[in-house]
Amino acid sequence: MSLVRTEALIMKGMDLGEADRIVTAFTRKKGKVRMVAGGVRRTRSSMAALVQPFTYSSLVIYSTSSLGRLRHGEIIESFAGLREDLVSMASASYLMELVDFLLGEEDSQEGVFTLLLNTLQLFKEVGPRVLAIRTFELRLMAILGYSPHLDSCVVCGADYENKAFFSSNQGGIICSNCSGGGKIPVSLGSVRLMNELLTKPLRKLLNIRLDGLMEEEMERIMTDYILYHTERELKSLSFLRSLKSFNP
Amino acid sequence: MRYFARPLSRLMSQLAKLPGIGPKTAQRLTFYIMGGSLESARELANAIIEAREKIRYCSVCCNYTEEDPCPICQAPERDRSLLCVVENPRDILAMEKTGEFKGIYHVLHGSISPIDGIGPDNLRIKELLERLKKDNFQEIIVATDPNVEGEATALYLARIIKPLGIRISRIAHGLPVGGDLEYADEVTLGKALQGRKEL
Ligand SMILES: [Zn+2]
Ligand SMILES: [Zn+2]
Repeated sequence: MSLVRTEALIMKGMDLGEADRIVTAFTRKKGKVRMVAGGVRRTRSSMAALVQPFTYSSLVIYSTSSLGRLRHGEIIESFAGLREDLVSMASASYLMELVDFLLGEEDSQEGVFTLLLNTLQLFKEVGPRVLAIRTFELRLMAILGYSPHLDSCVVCGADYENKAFFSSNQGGIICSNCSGGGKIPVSLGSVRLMNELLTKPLRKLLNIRLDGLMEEEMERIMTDYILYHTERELKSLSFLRSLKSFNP
Repeated sequence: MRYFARPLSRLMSQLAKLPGIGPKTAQRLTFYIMGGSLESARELANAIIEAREKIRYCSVCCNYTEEDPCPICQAPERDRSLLCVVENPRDILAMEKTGEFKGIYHVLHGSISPIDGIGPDNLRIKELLERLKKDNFQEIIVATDPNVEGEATALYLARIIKPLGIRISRIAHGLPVGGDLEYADEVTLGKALQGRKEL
């Protein structure tokens, strides 16, 4: 049992009792942490804003072997704008659910914390761009050791030609000779772009023009690749998709 | 090793299923009930069964009610051109206590929370849209909780209701961010209602 002060990003919360909440945060020092935040559902609670999803803060947590307890904290960046726009809110929820799903509790991963923080910051500055979501997915998988093989055919090592496929099962690009069918077709442009998303600075990627075909290809590939690793569809995805197809 | 007789542990485990009640509280409640008369235990059990059997959803506003439509939907003095949308029946109680609102209600029974898999289809939004088509409303006031789920629900409602050409507003955030509406005091909530703004 000890007091820990750490930067944190709030992932989600769940009501507990009369006025408390169990809050899940991703912290810089201790990875994913679950804690009780006392009284935060009272409208006069001073800590209520602190535990709103996506809030970036410095928290003091009384940490125990099971459920910690939030003592106090200060907001560094509220990311309020992300909660005031539906697509931003749904996109940020998706990032949080992905991290929640793929990482266990107290698995300290500073790389994931930085990636999450930078992506939320980017959402705030330029909106929830599709490219930023794809970059987040690719880099998160890479940090966790599931980086897809994109340089050559993952089976025979042949250089990439015009026609190729992506196999989640094999973990990368497959040439047309090795492909047994049933894989996702992928164009040279998409493969190059995915390589860039993995390696170039996040901000430089914003100038890249994404055409509709590449956007579709990359979404299909990443959805399939992530589903292969999570083994079930993430809950926030259907809402995010419904917003895109929604035309008032 | 069994610490308690089977009927006692059965009662404890039933009570422990209720929100906000852990094993310790369940034990305390169980022994409180054992310490009382058989008559008061029966009274409690019957009250639970009667409420569960007799209460249903109002076919107009989706609030819990014994008679259908509910007393608020039937009251002749209520302003039928003003519709207040709330997350749950407890919020109606909170709104009524302000004495500020003379219109009628619609209960969504929840709020949008993508990460929990709760989307618009899980709420009484279809019923709301049917009401909007059938009846003539001057204004829809969205009084969802001032937290991320309540905000998302309000934004979603604005997105689907605005194209219908109906005025839609959201109660002002005179309330601190992140709380539950049902815990607001009447004065704060009354102020928030007066300061509502268009969405
Ligand atoms: Zn090959
Ligand atoms: Zn009613």
